[in-house]
Amino acid sequence: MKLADKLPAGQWLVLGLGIALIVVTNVVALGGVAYNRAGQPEAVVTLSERELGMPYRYGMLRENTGIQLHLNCRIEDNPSYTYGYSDCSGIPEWFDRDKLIELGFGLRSESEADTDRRSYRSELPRPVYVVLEFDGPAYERAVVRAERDLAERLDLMVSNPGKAQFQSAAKQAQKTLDDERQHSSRLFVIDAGQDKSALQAKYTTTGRYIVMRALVRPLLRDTEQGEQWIGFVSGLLIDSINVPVQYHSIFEQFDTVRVSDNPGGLAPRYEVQVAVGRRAEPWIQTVRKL
Amino acid sequence: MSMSGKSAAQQRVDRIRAFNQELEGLAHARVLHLSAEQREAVNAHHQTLLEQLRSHFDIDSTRQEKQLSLGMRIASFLGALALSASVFFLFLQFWGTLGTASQVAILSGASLVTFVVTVLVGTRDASGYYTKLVGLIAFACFVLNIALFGEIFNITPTDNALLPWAALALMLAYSYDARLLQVAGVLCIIAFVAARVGTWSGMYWIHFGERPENFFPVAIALFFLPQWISHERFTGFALSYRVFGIITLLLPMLVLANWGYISYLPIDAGIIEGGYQVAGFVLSGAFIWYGIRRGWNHVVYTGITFFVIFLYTKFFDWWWDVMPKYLFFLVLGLVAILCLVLLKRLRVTQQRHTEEGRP
Repeated sequence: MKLADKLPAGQWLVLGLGIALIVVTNVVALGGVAYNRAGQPEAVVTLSERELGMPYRYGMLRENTGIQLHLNCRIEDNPSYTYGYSDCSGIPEWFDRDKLIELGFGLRSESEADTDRRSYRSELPRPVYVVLEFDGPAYERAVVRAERDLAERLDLMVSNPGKAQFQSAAKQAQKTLDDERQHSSRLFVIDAGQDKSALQAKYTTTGRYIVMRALVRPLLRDTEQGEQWIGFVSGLLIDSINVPVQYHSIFEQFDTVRVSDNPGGLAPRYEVQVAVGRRAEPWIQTVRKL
Repeated sequence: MSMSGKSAAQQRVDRIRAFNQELEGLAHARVLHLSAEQREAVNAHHQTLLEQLRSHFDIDSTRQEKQLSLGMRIASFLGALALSASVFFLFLQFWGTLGTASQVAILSGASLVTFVVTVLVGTRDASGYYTKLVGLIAFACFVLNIALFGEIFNITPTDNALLPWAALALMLAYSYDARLLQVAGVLCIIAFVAARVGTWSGMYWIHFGERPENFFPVAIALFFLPQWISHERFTGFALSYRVFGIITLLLPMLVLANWGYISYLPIDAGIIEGGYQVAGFVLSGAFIWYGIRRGWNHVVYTGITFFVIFLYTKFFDWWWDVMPKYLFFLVLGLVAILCLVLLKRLRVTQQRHTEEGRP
């Protein structure tokens, strides 16, 4: 008996509609991928293990044979800067009230917002484009800060001979500087905007800047000048990048310890060329073992 | 055949069984005694009817059959969950060894093949248990298909994915009278509509749960959907829509009644909390009243549950810190008894109306 004889007319309709739904959904999803990757990438940057960390494997995910590298990027916080903090969230110095208004947040004046309402004090995150700078001025400033911090601690240690806490602080500052030079991510969020083209036109150096999408939100913070609106970067919308199977063999040689977690002499072990396409979605072009 | 669906057929069978039991009771009490001829005519009519119903639907003629059916439903549900999880972990175990083209082919192929298998099983499986089981696996494969495309190609997460998921779940649910798939589809629709309402204010869609008012439009639509479109042919579908409608309306209200500062409303948080507390009580009461009026037990029970939760939440706010704990729980117990008394009075009134032939 043929299939045509087995299926009632109504079932043919269900079959047709269901197959059409699955096929169309797949085509739309893959069409979006093709559109993102069509033509020349909008940006290409070569990152190392410092910026693209090995995935953690825990719990049921131990069985996961896929590899996704975590994008470690940083915020130049002010004044509470933290070395090596790399989950792409924080309060950048440049993210002020004017930038928030430019990004479309309809902020109330600080006095109107001075209520017990959390919705006034922190609106919900919105997606915007952010510029990620690789190994540029923001990273240089981070190294200078770490060097300055070490110099100050060493001075304190010398002027307080024999005191353990000053020795320990100097040792910690030395370690921080070493981490900053060898292990911490050099990728920083340095600007945000609603217009991707405008950001790309502003930051043109090849191999240094990529534009991706991130979530940002305003916060009302107490400062010395009273309450002020400041911007908070919550994180990238895409914070990990899938490794194509042809490069898996490189990663399978390594254990899952991250270079940023274990700086005890562990140098970056791989280099990854990442491209970003028309929809600000990244993909891996090549991987090289160092 | 006048029966419009399995649900109606099963209800008719249940009525026949109840009628026969009552007839036996009446004969035993010497109230009504049918002649042998009449009894034979009734039996023959019922027998013909039952055979007709059995030939069209997988119905339970006895209480034992009904109990076994419940067991089969539970087994089918658990089996579907376990098999869906198995599909997920199977792919997780091997996808790292496959090239991108193979990954795409396997994910898309699994969605298509499981869907076609569901339709084929549906034509042979009169009971529907296997169809529902395979249908749930087909839905899981489709969800996995699109979700893993996102992982493989680093696609920005989008609420648009919820729409085709809802469409497939509801298509399978309506085709094979599968309530679990209907619930899956309803959950996708709730998330999609709430996310869309949330994005009107500029927020990123995934944060839709942080402004509970986003759920109100879809809640109202779900509750009234079975009144606009008849669901008599589908077992329990109307019930699911109404219950999910009430939950989607009253749960966000309960949250707002306690944390008013997450509301969209640009007024004092205390006023918002008070307003939603009153709204919660009034709407819970309205659902109880409406459920009794329409004879919808599920609406009554859901309304009562929320009424009690709203009430106890308020008691906790007012008295937990100031009252000795024995007194606090005594008050809760007394309120429960008061609820019992009120519901009993309501029941008596309802019985009186029924006796008088009023609704």
